[in-house]
Amino acid sequence: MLVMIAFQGYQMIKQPITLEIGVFAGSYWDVPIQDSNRFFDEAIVEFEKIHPRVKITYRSGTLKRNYSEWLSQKIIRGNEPDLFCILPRDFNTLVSIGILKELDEIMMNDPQFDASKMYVNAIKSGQFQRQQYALPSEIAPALMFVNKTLLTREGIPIPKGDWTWNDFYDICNRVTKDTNGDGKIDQFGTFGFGWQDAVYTNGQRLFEADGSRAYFDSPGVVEAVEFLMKLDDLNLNYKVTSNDFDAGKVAFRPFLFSTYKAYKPYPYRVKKYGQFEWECIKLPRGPKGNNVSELHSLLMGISSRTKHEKEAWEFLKFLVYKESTQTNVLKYSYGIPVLRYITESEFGEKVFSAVSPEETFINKSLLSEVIEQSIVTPKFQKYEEAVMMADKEIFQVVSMEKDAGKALEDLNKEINNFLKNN
Amino acid sequence: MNHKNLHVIRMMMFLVNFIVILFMSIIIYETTELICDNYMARDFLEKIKFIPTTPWKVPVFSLALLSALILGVTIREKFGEYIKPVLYLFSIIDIILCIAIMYYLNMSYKGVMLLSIVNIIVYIEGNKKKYMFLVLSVLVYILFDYDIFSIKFNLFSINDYIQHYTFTQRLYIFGIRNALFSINEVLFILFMIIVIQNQIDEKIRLKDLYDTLYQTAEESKIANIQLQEYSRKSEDMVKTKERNRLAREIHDTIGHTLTGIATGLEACIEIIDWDIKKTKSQIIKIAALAKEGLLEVRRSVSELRPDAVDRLSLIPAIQKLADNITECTKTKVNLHIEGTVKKLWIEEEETVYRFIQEGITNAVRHGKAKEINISFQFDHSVINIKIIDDGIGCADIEEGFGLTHIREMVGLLNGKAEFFSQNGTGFIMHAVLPIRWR
Repeated sequence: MLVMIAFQGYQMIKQPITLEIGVFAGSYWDVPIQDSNRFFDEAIVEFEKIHPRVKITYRSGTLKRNYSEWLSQKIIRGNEPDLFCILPRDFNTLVSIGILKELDEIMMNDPQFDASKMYVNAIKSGQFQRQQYALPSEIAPALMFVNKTLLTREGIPIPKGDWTWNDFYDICNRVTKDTNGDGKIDQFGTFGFGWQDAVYTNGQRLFEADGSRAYFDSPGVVEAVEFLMKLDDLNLNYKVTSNDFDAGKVAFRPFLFSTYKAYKPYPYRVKKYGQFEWECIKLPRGPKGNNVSELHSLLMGISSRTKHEKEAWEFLKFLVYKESTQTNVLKYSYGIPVLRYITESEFGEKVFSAVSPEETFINKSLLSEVIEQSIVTPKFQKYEEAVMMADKEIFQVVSMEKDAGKALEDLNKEINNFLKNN
Repeated sequence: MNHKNLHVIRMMMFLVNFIVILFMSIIIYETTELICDNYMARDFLEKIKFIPTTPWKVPVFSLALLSALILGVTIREKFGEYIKPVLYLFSIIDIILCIAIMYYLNMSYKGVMLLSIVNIIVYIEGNKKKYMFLVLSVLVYILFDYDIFSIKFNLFSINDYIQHYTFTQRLYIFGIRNALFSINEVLFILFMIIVIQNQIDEKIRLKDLYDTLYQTAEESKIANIQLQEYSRKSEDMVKTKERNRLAREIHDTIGHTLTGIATGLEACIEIIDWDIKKTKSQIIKIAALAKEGLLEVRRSVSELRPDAVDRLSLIPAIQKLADNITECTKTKVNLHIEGTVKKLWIEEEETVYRFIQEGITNAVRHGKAKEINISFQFDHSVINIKIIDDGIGCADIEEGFGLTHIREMVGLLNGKAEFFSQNGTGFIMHAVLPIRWR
C-alpha cells in the first residue's frame, strides 16, 4: 500500500517530458503530397495516448531544401531535436561529428524490438561502418519507368524483369530517331540512366565499405562507363532533358518507386505524366550484374546529446516498428514500409494494386525482391565528396568521349588520394 | 615580500585565465551567430571533426569551474593550517577541475593547467609528494593537448570557428589569443623564477648560518685547547705553590725544633762537666722538644698544619712557644699583651704564630740573644706585634727565606711587616695586621 502511494507520488512529481522531433515539410521523395505531416501527427497522437507523460513537439514548415541548414544551426547552437529526420547527404557528416546516438545497444537490449522483421537493407541503410546510427521509417528502390505508349507505337513489347543491357541498348537504338522528318532526332531511348545505375547493375562496388579505398579502375566499372558512352552516342550530341521525358519522347527513365506511387494514381497522373501510358520495371542488368538498383531511405536518428534517450528510442521504435504507424506509410506517404510483413500484407497488396489497377507488374513480392536485392551505398565521411568528384570526371569522359579505361584509372588514383589524405 | 609577489602573480594568472575563457567563449558564441546568420551551418558541419559544445555552456561551465578553483585557493589561504591532511585532496580536485575546464574549451586551451601546477608548488609540502603531483600535472599538461587527443578521438577545435573569419580578422583573433596565452605563460615563468630565487636565497641564508656555526665551533675548539693549556699551567702553579708551602712548612716546624735542640745541646756540652744533674734535666727537656718536633713533623706530613695553633687559641699557643724556648735554651722569652684579646680568623692566627715563631727562631739562631720581648697590642682594627731581642743584630739585613716568607704572609692579609737592626743592638721585627671582625 505504502509502496503504491509512494509510487503514485513519484509519478506525480515527475515532470512531463517534452520530446522534440525534427521533420521537414513536404515529401521526402520530392513528390507532391497533400498533408505531409499527417504521418507524424497521427503517430504523435497515438504515442502520447500510450505515454501520457511524454509530449512531442516539432517545428512545421521547414522545407526539405532548408532542412539541412536548419538542423545544422540547431546542432551548433546545441539545441537540436531529440529525434530527427536525416537527409541522405547529411547522414555521413552527422555520424562523423558524433551527433547521432549509436543504436546497436538499445536495439539489442529492447526485447520488443526484432530487427529481423525489417528489410535487411533497410537496417543497413542506417549503418555507418557496421554500426547502427539511424533507422529508416520508409524506403524506396529505384525502378525503370517505361513509356508504354512509345514502345507500343514502335511495336516493341515491354521488357521482362530480367532484361539485360543488350536488350536495353537494342530498344534504345530502335527508338532513337527523327519522327517528324526535320533532320533532327526527336525520340530517344533513355534519360537519367546514370553511371552509378550502370555500375550497380553490373554488380560492381565503388568503395571499400569503410571508405579506405576506391575501385573505379575495376574492369566492371570501366565496362559500365563504356556502356554509358555507347548509349550517349545514340543521341548524336543531343542532350536529353526531363522535359523530353515528360513530353513522352523518351522510352526509359529510372525513378524511385515513390515517384511511381505518387504519379500513377489520379489526379497527379493527369497533371504530370498524362500524355502517355507508363509502367515500371526493374533496371536492366549488365554482363557482370543483376537487375538491382540503389535503395533510398528516409532515416531517423536520435541525438547523442538528448536528455530523453529512452523516450526518443520509444518514439523512434513507434515510427519504424509499430504496425499501425508503418501501415500509415502505405496510407499517407509514397515510400515502402520497412517492415516486410506490412508490405506483403493484404492491405499492402490492396494499396499497390490500387496504384496500378490494370497491371500486375508491381506487386508485393516483386517489391520485396527488389528491396532485398537493392544496393545500399557505403557510408563514410568522404562519400559524398568522392562521388561528386567521380560524377564530374565521368560526365567529362562520357561527353568528351575520352578513353574510359585510362580516365578511370586516373580518377581512381585521385579519389584514393583524397580518401587517404586530410 | 616575495611571498606577497607570488600571491599577486597567482591572482593575475587567475585573471588572465578568466579573460582567456571569456575571450574564447565570445569567439564561439559570436561565430555561431555569424554562421547561422549567413546560413553556413551545414558547410560548417562539414569542416569540423566533432560536435561543438553548446555555445552558452562554454562560458557558464568553464567559468563556474574556474570559480570553484578560485574558491579552493581561498579556502586553502584562509584555513590552510587546519586542513593540512586534505591539501592533497585539494590538489587532485584542482587537476580534475582543470581537466574539466579544458574539456569545456574543447582542449583548445591548456594554460589553465598551469594554475594547478602553481597551486601544487604553493600548497604541497615535502619534496617527494610535491614532485609526484607535479609529474601528474605536467603529464596532464602534455597529454591533454588538442593535437594529441585528436589522434585517437574526434575532437572539436576552436580553430574551426576562427577559420570562419576573414584573413585579417583571423590575424587579430589569433594575435589576441596568443598574446593572452603568452601572458599566462610569462606569469607562470615569473612565478617559477621567484620561487627558485626564494629557494636560492634560502640556501644562501642557510649557508651563512652554517658558516657562522662552523666558525664558532672552530673558535670554541681553540678556546678549549687554550683552556687545557691554562689548566695544565695552573696545575703546575699549584704544584709550585704547594712545593713552596712544603718548604716553608719544613723550615717552620723541623727547622724551629732542630734550632731548639741544637742550642739546648750546646748548652748541655758547656755544663755537662760541672753539673751532671742539670745537664741531665736539660737533656730530658731537649728530648721532649725533639719528640714534640717529631710529632710536629708527622702532623705536617699528614695534615700540614701547625699543631699549637690548631689545638690552642693564639695566645696560649704563643705562651707555650715562649715557655719552650725559655726552658730549653739560655734565651728568655717575655710576652706582653696590651688591649683586649680578640678572637682572630685562622689565617691571621697562623700568620701571627708564624711571625712570632720566626722572630724567636732568628733571635736564638742568628742573634744569640739572651732575652726576647714580644709585645701584642690589640687595637680597634689592627694588631701590632713587636719582637725585640738583645742579640748581635746585623748591619745589613739579608732577608732569607724565612723573612721573605713572613713578609709575604703578612702581605697576603693586607698587613705590613718591618725589620730593623743595627750592629750590636739586637733585632726588631714589627708587624701591623688589620683585624677582620668575626
